[in-house]
Amino acid sequence: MSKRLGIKCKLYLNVNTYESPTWNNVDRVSDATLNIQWEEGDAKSRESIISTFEPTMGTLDCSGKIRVDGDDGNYVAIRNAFAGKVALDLLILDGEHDEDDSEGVRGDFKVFNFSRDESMGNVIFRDFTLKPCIPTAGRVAVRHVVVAGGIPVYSDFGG
Amino acid sequence: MPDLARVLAACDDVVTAIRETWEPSGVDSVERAYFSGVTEKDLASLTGRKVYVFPASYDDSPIDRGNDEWIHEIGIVVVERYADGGKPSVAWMDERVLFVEQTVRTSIDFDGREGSLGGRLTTQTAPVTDVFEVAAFHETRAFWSEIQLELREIVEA
Repeated sequence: MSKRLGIKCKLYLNVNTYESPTWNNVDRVSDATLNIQWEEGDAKSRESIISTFEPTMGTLDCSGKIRVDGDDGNYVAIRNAFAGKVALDLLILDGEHDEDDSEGVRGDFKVFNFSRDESMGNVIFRDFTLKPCIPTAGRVAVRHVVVAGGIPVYSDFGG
Repeated sequence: MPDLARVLAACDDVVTAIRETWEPSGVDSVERAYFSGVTEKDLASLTGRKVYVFPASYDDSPIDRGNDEWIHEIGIVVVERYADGGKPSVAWMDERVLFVEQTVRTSIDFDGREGSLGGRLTTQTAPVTDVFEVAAFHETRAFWSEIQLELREIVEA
């Protein structure tokens, strides 16, 4: 599929082991943004009159809105992870996890923002921000994902 | 696929909710109707208290990745002719105005009520746009009041 739509993007929560994940679709999510970029290392030298740079450290976060629904297990898991500062194994893709060419990231994330707007007349959503955290023992840091052959294929950033 | 359009099912849910608070007796009634206005002639022969619930408009859009939000605009008309002849008394009118506020409007204050098609209905606004309609009052000695109800319904996509 060449065209990708925001409404078809997925935030998956692993509810099984790291090695044999079971991906729950967190479908109470509304607008979300995956921010990912390299910091710039100044690489100017006499080789070029034009300033040069190299990507160094990367920063990544996912922010968005999730509709409050205490009957939804995925929402409750994220709420509890925020309250308990607990890591979540997440897969953030622009399509289904078994759909070829879906791309995104997988890793351990913690919830750093879980605010809400209680304006009169609002359906209540939580604004959330997910950031990579220190990986749980035995896991690796956040990795890049592209689905191929119906399976997420992982690679290290900068590798 | 349901047998009934969502907005009509929502109207039926409104009728049910009103009946839970007010059980019409005799010639009184509450019903869903395709309502284009009771004519002056209709009013002249009207008997009992009538509550008409009718669809006005609807729309839906995704509220999140797994659910749609429907907005149902529903009109409610409460009408009753003063049958005793002469001008309706203030007390008679007061009783009808109170009925609209305390019975009809209170009964449609939905807070996530499960609708007949499985969605969750929440009342967004319910302004009484006419406490009483002046022309109906003067020309036909009838009480006529209108509510414009906006319901939101969250439905699994």
